[in-house]
Amino acid sequence: MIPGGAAKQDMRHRVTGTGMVILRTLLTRLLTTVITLAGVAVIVFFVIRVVPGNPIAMMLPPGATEEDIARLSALYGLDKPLVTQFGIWVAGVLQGDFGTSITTRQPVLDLVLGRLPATLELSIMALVMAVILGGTAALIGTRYRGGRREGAIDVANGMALSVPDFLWGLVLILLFGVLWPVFHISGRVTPSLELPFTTDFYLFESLIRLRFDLWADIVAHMFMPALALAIPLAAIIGQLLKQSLKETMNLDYVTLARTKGYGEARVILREALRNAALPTLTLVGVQFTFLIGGTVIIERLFSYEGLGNMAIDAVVNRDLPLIQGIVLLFALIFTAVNLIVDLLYAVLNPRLRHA
Amino acid sequence: MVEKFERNAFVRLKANANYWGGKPDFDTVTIKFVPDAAARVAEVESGNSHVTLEMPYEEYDRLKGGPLAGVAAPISDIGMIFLNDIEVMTDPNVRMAAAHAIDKQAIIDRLLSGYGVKIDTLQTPEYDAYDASVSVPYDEAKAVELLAASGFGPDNPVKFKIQTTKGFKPKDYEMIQAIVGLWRKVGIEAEIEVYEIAKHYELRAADQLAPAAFYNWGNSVGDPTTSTGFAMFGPSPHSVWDGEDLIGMIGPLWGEADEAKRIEGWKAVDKYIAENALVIPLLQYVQPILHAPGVVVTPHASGALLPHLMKRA
Repeated sequence: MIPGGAAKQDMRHRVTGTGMVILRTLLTRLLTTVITLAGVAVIVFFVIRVVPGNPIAMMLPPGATEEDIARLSALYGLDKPLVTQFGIWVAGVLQGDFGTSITTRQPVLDLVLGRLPATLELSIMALVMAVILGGTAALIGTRYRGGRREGAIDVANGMALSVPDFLWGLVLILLFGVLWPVFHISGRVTPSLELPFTTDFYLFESLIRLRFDLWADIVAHMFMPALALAIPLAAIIGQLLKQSLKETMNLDYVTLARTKGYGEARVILREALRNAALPTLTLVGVQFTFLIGGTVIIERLFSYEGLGNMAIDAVVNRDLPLIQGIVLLFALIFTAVNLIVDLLYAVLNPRLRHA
Repeated sequence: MVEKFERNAFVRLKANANYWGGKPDFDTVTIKFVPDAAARVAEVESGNSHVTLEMPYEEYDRLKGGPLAGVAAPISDIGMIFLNDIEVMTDPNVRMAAAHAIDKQAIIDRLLSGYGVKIDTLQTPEYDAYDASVSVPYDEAKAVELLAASGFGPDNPVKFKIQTTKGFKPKDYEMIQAIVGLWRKVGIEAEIEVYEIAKHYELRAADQLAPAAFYNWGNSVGDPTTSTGFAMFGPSPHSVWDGEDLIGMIGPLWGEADEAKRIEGWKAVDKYIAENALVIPLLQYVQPILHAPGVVVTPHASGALLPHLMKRA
C-alpha cells in the first residue's frame, strides 16, 4: 500500500510525465507537419503541371481565338514561369488565399471549406461504424474462440477485406437502394427539404437544433456510403483486436482475474480490452487516413457532396488551384489525425507516460 | 425558374406560372447530379428518381422492357476521327483509304447494340446543312487500291499513330480497336495511344494531335458553323486540318447573310471534306433514356432532358 503523501507525489509525477510526453509529441509533430505540408505543396504544384491537360484548352468556347487563349492564360497566371507561379501561390496560401477555382471562379478556400464538413461527417460516421462492427466481431470472436462462431467471423472478415469499398458500395446500392429501398442512393439530403442550417455540418447541426426529421434524412443518405467505407476498416479492426485480445487473455493478470471468479465476458471487457486496444488504436489512426482517402471514390459513387467528389471534378477539369487546395487540405487532415492518434497513444499507454 | 441550386448536388426548378408556352405538367422538377451510371440506374429502379439517361446500352436493353420504360433517340453528338495534316496524312490516298476501310454500320451494330446512326459528314440528318447525297461507303477493295497507288499494302503497310480516349464515350476505345483491325486488313498499321480528354484538348489547341485522333463533337444548336465550321476552319483552335483550300472555302461563309446561300455553301464544304477525306465522321450517337411508366419523356436532339417536354402518362 502506498501512503497518502507518496500516492499524491506519484500522481503528480504521472501527470507531469504525461504532460511532458504530450508536449514533446506535440512540438515534434507540429514541426514535421510544417515540413510535410511544405513537401506536399511542392509536389502537388509541380506534379499536376506535368500531368497532361491544359485547363485553358478545356475552357475555350467554339469561336475562341489565339488572343482568347493568351488572355485566359494571363488571367489565371498560367503564362508566367513555373517557379514564379509557385511563389505567387505559396505567398497567397500563407495569407489564407488559396487562389480562385478555374471552373467555378470562386475562392478555393471557400469551396474546400464548404465541402470539408460533409467529408468529415461521412468519415467520422464510417469510423464509428467500423469500430462498432469490428469491435463487436473481435469481442464475439474472442469470447467464442476456437469455435464455429470465431470461424464464421474470420470468414466474414476475409470477405470484407478482399472486396474493395467501391464494390461494397455497389452491393449496398443493390441491396438497400433497389431490392429493399430503405436508404437514399445519392446526395447528402433530400433536395425538396428546406434546410435551416447555418453551418455545413448538417448531421451535427440537425441534432443540436433537435430537427430529428432532417437528422433521419441525412443519416438515410449517409448510411450506405459510410457503411461501404466502414466494412474494410471494420474487418481490419476486428482481426487485429481479436488477435490482441487472444494474446492478452493468456497473460497472468487475466488468469488472476479468472481465478477471482469473474465471468469470461467480464474478463474480456474489464480486464483484457484496455490493454489489447492499444495496438488497434494506432492502426485505426493510420487506417482512418486511408478511409478519408477512400471517400474520393465512394462520394463519387453516391453523388455525395463532399471533398472527394469535388476532387474528381477538379482533376477531370484540370482545375489546378482547386486540386492544390484539396490536396493540401487532405494532407493537413492526415497529419492532424496522426497527431491526435499519437497524443491519444501517449495518454493511454502507461509505458510512454513514464518514459 | 431555378428555385434552388447546390453545386454538384441538384438543381430544383419551379414552373413559371407566366410562361407564354402554357403550364407544364409538373410544378417542381428536381435534377440530381449523379455521375455514376450504376447509381443513376439504381435511382430510377428504386423509385427515388423518375427519369435518367446515359447508361450503357446493355443496361438500357435489360431494363426498358421491365418495370421501366425507355426511349432512345439520335442526338447531336457525333463520333469522328480528326486527321491532322502531318506525316502520312498529307497523302490523300492514305486518308481516303482509311475512310473507305471502316465499316461504320458493323461497328454500330456489334459494339453499340445498333444504337447509332452512320454518318459521312459532320452534319447529322436533322441539320439544315445535311446532304444525304454525300457518301463515303465501306469499300475494302477501293481502300486497297488507293493504298497501292501510294505504294502501300498489307505487306508494306502505311504506319501512323491514332489517339483515343478510353471510357469517355460509350465503347470509344473498342471502336478504335475495331477500326485498327479493319485498317490492318487493307494495309494500314495504326498504333493506338490512349489519352485523357484533357490531353486531347491541350494537343488540339496547340495543333499537336497525332495524324489521327478519335473525338466526339457536340453541336446542340445544329448550325453548320458549330460543327464543320469550328472543327475544320484552320485558324480555329478547335480545328486540326489547316489546309488553305478549306480555309478559303469556309472563310466567306462566316459572314454570309443569305441563309439559303450560306447553307448551300456549307454543304459544298462538307462534300469537299468527304471527297478528300479531311476528317472521318463515324456515327451519330443515340441517347438512351430510362423512365418510370408514369412519365412520358420526349427526347431532345441536343441530348439534354428538358423538363417542359416531360408529361404525365
